[in-house]
Order: sequence, then C-alpha cells, then structure tokens
Amino acid sequence: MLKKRYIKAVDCMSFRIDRGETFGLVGESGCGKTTAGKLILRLIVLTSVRIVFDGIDITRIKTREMRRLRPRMQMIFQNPYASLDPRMKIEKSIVEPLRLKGGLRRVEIEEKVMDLIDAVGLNPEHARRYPYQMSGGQNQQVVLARALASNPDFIVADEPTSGLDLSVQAQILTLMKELKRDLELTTMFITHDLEVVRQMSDRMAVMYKGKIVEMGETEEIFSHLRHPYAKLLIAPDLQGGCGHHEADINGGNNNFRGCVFYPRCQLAEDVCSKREPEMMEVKRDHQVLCQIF
Amino acid sequence: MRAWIKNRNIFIGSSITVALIFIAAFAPQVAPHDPTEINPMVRLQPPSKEYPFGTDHMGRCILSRIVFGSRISLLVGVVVISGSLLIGIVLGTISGYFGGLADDLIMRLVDGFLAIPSMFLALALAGTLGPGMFNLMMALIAVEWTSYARVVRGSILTVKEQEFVEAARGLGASDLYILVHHIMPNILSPIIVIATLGIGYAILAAAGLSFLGFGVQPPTPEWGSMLDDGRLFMRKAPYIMIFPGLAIMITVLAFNFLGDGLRDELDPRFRKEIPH
Amino acid sequence: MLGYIFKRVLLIIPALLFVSMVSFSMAYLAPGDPAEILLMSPEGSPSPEAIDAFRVRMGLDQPIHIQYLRWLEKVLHGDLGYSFISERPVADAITNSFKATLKLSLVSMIVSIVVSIPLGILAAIKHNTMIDDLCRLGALIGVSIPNFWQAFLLILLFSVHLDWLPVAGYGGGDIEHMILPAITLGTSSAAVTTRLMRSSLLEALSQDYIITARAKGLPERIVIGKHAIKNALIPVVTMLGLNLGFLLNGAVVTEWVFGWPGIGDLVVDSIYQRDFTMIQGSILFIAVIFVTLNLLVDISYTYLNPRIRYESVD
Repeated sequence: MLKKRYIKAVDCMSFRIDRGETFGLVGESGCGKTTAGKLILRLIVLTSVRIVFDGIDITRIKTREMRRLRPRMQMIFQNPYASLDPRMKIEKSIVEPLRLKGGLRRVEIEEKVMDLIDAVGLNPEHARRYPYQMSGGQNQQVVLARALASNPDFIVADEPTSGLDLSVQAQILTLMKELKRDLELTTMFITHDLEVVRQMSDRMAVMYKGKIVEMGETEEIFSHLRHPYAKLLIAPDLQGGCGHHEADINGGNNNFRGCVFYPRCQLAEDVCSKREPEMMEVKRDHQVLCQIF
Repeated sequence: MRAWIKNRNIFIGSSITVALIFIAAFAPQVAPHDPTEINPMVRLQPPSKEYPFGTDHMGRCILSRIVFGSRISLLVGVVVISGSLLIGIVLGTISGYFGGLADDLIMRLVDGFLAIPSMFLALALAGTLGPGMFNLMMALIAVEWTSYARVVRGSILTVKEQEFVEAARGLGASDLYILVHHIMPNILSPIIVIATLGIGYAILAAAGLSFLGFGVQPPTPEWGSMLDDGRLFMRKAPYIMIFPGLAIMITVLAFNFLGDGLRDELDPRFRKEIPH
Repeated sequence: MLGYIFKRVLLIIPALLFVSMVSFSMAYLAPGDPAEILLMSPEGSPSPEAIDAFRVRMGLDQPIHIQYLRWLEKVLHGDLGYSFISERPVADAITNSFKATLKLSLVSMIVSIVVSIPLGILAAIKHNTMIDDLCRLGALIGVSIPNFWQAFLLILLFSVHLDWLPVAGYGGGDIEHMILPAITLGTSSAAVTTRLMRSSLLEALSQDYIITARAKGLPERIVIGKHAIKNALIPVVTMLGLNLGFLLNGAVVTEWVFGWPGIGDLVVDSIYQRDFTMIQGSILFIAVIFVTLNLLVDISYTYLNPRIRYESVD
C-alpha cells in the first residue's frame, strides 16, 4: 500500500519586498524557490502562510476577489514553450490578460498589443505566429509581453533565462532592466545563476532546502558572505572541501531537530544538531540563519 | 494544410466519404429505381443492365436499396457518435478536470459499463428495448460513450498539468474560461480521431444488429438487414448478400482510412514541431 | 504485488454489482409485461388467471428490489434460475454453451497468432515498402469487413461451391465445423494484432540497445530475433488478452451465422425468444468472465513489465 510522505518544499520563510525593488531568490534546483514564487502569487495554496500585497492580506481572500487582483501581480514561468498555449497565436496569448481584465475596447486592445510587442523587442509580423515557429528567446519575449499587458505592479520571474543561449540571456536581462526602470516594476527574480542575481537584484535571499539561510542587500551579501551554504554556493573556490556528517540527503528523517545544513556544514558544532537556528541580524539588512556567530 | 492532401490515408478516406455523402444526399437522383417498389415478376434476377446489382426476393432493385441504405447507415453513424461524444465529453470533463468524488463515481460507472462486452450489451439493450432505429441508436450510444469519456478524461488530465494552464490561472482566468479556451482546443485532436474511427465502428455494429433483426425493420433498406434477407437465397442468388456487405465494408474502410490518416497527421505534428 | 492484486480485485466489485443490476433489469426494459408476452399464443391473449399464476410461479409478483435481491442471493449460490422457455436450469445451458465458445475462441486465437505475428514482423522489417503497405491495407480491410459478411463469403466459397466443408452446425465440435468460424473470428482479430505487432517491433527496433547490438557487429538475424522481437512481444501478449473482448464480441454474430452453439448464439436466441431468465443469467455470466479475464491480463502485464512492477511495489 502507498504511504504518503511529505517533503517540505518551503519551510519557515519570511521576507519582505519593497515597492520598486528587485528581490532575487537564489538556490540550487529543488530548494523550493519556484514553489515560493508560486506560493506568494497564490498559484499554490497553503494555509500556513501569510501573504500581504500592497497592504492587502491576500492569504485567505475569496477566489473571485483574488481574480480581480491578479492583473496586478504576474508570473513569468521558466519554460517559455510550456507556458504559452501551443494552439494560440502569439497575439492571442498577449491579448488574453487584457481580455480577462476587461474594460478596454477592441481598438485599444489591438493598439496595446502592438505596443507591447514593440516594447519587448519583437516585430509586428511575429504577432501572427505560433510558439513553435519561434525561438526560445523570442517566446520568452512574448511571455514578458503577456506579463506586462495588464500593467502589473509586481512580477515574479522564475528562471526567465535558463535554457537560453548566453547572448539571448543578456538580451532578455537587459530588456527586463529597462522595463523595470521605465514601468517602475517591483520584481522577484528567481534563479540559480549567481551572475544574474548579482546583476539584476537590489536585495536577495539564498535558499537551502526550503529555508532562507541568508538575506539582505545584494552587494553586501556578495562582499560579506556569512552562511556556510551561501559561501559554498557563491564562492566555492574559497572553500577547502565539504563537510560530511550524516548522509541525510533525502530529507526523509522527520525526527532530526537540528539545523537543516548540519550534514554538509564545515563549521558545525554540537548545538547545530540539536536545535534549529533562528534568523540573526548580522548587520543592518543582512540576516543569516545560523546559531554559531 | 497541404500536408493533409499529401497524406494518402486522409485522401482516400475523405474522397470515399465525400462520395458517400453525395450518394446519400442525392439518393433519389442516383438510384435507378424505387427501393421499396415490390415487383414479384422480376424477383431474384441476377445483375443486368436494368438492375445493375440484381433484384432481391421481392423484386426490389438491390442497387437502389443500397443507395438509399447509405442514408440510414450514415445517419446512424453520425447520431450514435454525436450522442456518445456529448455524454462522453461532459462526463469526461467533470471527471478529468474537477476530479475528486465525481471522478471516482464516473470511473466506476464506466467500469460497470465496460464489464459487459460491447456487442452483448448492445444486443441485450436493443433486443429488450424493442425493434426500431431509435432503440438501436440508444443501445449503441449506451455502449460507445465510455470510450469517449475515458479519452477526454485522459487528455484533460494531461493538459491540465501543463504550464500554460497554470499561467492562464495566474492571469485571472476562471475554470470555465480555461476549459473553453485552453483545454478544449488542446484535446480536440484525439477526439477527432476516435470520433472518425467511431463512426466506422458504429456503422458496423448497427449493421450487425440489424442483421440479427434488432434495429431497422423492413421494408427500410438497411445494409445489415439486406444481408439477413440474402441468407435464405445464398445458393440461388448470392448477389443479394454480396453487394450490401461490400457497401458496408467500403464505408467502414473509408472512415478507418480517414481516422488513421488523421491520427498520423494530428499527433506527431505537434511533437515534431517544437524545436529543441 | 499482492497488495496490487488485492486492490484491483476490490475495484471490480462495484463494477460487477452494476453489471448484476443491468442484467437483472433486462427483463424489465422490454415494453409490455413479461408474463403476458410469454404466455401469448396463437389463440389469443392469455387469461388474467393464467398470467397471475405464471407470475407467482416465476416470482414476478414481488416489488422490484425484492426480486433483485432474491435473484442476487440465488446467483451468489450458483443458481441462475430456470429458463422461461424450456424450464431447464439456466446455469447448465450457459456452461454448456460456454464450453463451445471456449473451444472456438482458442482455435480462433491460434489462427490469429499464426497469421498476425509473422505478418507483423514482415511488415516491420520491410518497413515502408510495398509489402508493408500491403500488410497494412490487409489489416485495415480486416478491421472494416463485417464479420457476418465474411462468414457468408467463406460459406459461399467453401461449402456451397466447393462443398469441402459443412455449412453450419456443431457436429460434436469437430474440426470440420470449426474451421470456417475460426477463420472468420481469427482473421478479424489478426487484423488488429498485426498492426500492433508491427508498431511494437518498429519501436523496439529503434531503441538504443538495438543500435548498440548492430554496432557490435552482430548478424542482423540475431539482432532482430533475440533482442527486438522478445521485447516487442510484451505488448502483444497483453494485446492478446485484450483480443479476448474482440473475440467475444465477434462471437455473437459469428456463432449465430454458423449455428455454433456457443454463448453468443445462446444470447441471441434467448433474446429472440424473450427468455428473460436466460438473458439475465448469460449477460451476468459473460460479464463476470470478461472482467475476470481482463483482471488476469492486467495482473500478468504488471508482472511482465518491469517498469510498472517497480512503481506498484512502491
């Protein structure tokens, strides 16, 4: 018979994103960053969270009300091909959020679509194409256009450049920076690429196994790394090897009551295997999840 | 679009189907004689210029009966498939999209229907409900809907998990909107394929049941019951039975060609076209 | 594994319950009163007393759910009642008929395998050539041809013109009487299996381990024979199990045409004669057999297919 085993994708995360800033979320694959992104937009629903958007507590509001708020918060998914309906022409995909939001006349919608296509750097002739007829980079531009269509205040970008060629990546990132500046967007940028997070974000958080282990201003973190995992991730050549305590890689041992990074931590002490650490403020706006400082 | 003409199966299948529809639609013009006209003087005549397929035991022109019979077969095929599709899509969508208890119940119901081999079930239903085309169609719909429900459910389960559906939800779309605009268009391909093949199967099953005497009643010209008539005269006048059977085979073959061709064309295409 | 089997068996029960209800209600779907219909004779309608007496004797005077439960209870004890027409036990008639169907089905399956596997292999090997096209065309025709027509053509040729074989009948179940029906059933089923064998072999041939074997320099015959065919057979084996449904369905008309006293023939006759207890019993019986056989096929498929086996053990 099947036994259900729960693995916590996101565990005790708490962060704040200010208007106008880009907040980066980094970590290895599987650490739960995509889940975190979907959670705050309520694409996945859990009750043991609390989400406040522009002063409104959206944790438990009714679906209908949430739907009205959605145009203000958009998500860019990782795989551009997967997130576009393969049977819809590009222009239809971009029109969709406008139609759902309502309130615009057809002419206005057509104009807006053309504006958006232009704004993301595509040609008008692309409008009538299907996703499979264009490259990954171009599709990602479409996804951007669609996300911007409803004039959102907030965008969650989940690995928008992974899988794309380096030159195309640079293009997309530049584009996003421009748009953010021109439209005064607030963004949450999820990625595993450290170069990107350093380039794009004002503040950032490093995730490990569902928890934030270090958070603060990007430059501050990059110049003063504190958490052992963050050091491993960001500046691996400075480390002399990795620590090994227990082979607890599957995370299935629910009785373990210590720090989640204990098995791999070089600096671990006894207390680390017995008690979970809490976020400690190491400097102004620089927090670390560790108990041995 | 051009590829469709190149596909041999689709080409053959649709050509024959179009020809059939033409024949059925213009039956009175195509048929040389009145299909129900009884003429004892010319009974059991072999094929001749006057009667290209011969005459049956009541002196009726077999060719004319076959021409008019096409109307019956096509009608039955289309009605049965439409009815099955309707029920199948509704139940399959509830089952696949909303899941939960409804899904379990519907799937148990499907299992129940599928427990009885289709011909037996259709036979028992048609036989006990009584003769007539309507009962025949009801019996076949009751048997066929399960396949469509399953296919629809399966397709929806696959599509439901895809990211563009999640993206649509993120844009603020309601369930109904997502079903109509995103899910339905993406599950059309398998449905078209099985519906086409299903028409062929329905025609075959209807002919079989009519052959046994359940379903279309004389003097309505139906290919299956014409074969039944021909049974007694197998030695003397085998053509009574040969031509209707041929008609059934060609018709079903047409839909099978079409369905096969559509299947080849619709499925791998979208797999091929996503560049990597 | 056992857990899987147990789960599957449990899932069958609601389906069978449903089947029992459907079978039972067959008698009541018919327009008109069953008693009246059965007692109708050339002299005219039966008298009310005769109808009542018949009703009581057959237990038709009780409310429906009571009748159903009574019937169900008897069924679970193996008593399927007595034929309305012949007044002999239904269960006996069914088991005898089923034996005949079983014989025919086995021979038909053999025909099917003998025809379809070589043809399927041939079509796959000569992929995209004329031979392949011919095989595929043949299979398509096989699926489109009405089996009662095919039966007649065979009878016309072999019995009427050539007089090699008897037209119809059981003849004690001897080969002579079995050949034509078995060919009819077997070729229809072969049409489906051939296509499956072909596509399954084609898929197996494109797998990486085949390319490796070829690269190693193994002779083509061994490459195809040992590796590809063995793996291609797995889906075919299960398909043979699914063919069961195909054969049973085809048996209805085929048996009737050839006068082969199998269960298909029994069902048709009992519907003609409005022998309701026989109809109820035989539908129930055939469904139970069908479900059981499908279950066995599913279980053996899970057992044979290592990928699924691991998933189900989890």
